[in-house]
Amino acid sequence: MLKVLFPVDGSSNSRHAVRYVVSEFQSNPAMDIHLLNVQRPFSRYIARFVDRKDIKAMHNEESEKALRLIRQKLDEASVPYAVHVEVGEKATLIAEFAKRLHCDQIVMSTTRKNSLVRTVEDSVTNKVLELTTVPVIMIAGDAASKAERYGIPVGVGTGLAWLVVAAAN
Amino acid sequence: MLDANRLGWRLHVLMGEPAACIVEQAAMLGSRGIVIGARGVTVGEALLLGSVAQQVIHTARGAVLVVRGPATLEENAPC
Repeated sequence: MLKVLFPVDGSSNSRHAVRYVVSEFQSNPAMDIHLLNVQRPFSRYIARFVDRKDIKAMHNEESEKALRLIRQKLDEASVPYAVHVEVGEKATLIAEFAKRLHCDQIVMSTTRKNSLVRTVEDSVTNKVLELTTVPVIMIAGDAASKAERYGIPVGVGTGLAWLVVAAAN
Repeated sequence: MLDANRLGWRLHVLMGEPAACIVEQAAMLGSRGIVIGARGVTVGEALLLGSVAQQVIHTARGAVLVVRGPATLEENAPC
């Protein structure tokens, strides 16, 4: 049985990955699918003043929102799956979870980005590729937004120009 | 390894920019996906040294299976 870890963050790109998972399941139903949603922990300054039960409830609510569409798509296609919700650093937990569950594959979706945007941005998929030796199936989704595609190069260019001017003075 | 596992294969030799050639060839062959090895370098290293796997992931039309071996950058360092 092929054990697959499918991290879901609720982004629109997950739609592309779920389509892939469903089509793979239809051609090979011997798949054990594990959905994983990782929630960011609250800052300790905030967590200090909020009840633990409330924090847990908020994490559960957010993970339900993130998983809703994916679960719906899998249910519609009658694909069985297990759900896991964790709190912590996304990439580290995905890599750890894949190792702990002895997964054969990780299926992830990613936004299409250029090299500069990838370098500047904190990408979960890149970190997972750095951390795990479990084979990762990457499904490239939609292109990055215009703000990312043009804003980041303009920002980096402005910063460099400012440094050159400052050095010249 | 492919022969040992009795897997059929065909070799294609192309000249040009590796990532673009891989993506183009996959599209031309009508492949279901691309399987590629990766060194597991950081994004900064990938920008400086170039990572074909990263470029293929972001330009391919279908699924890309990335398999990272235990190899490190030292392996590629000149002796």
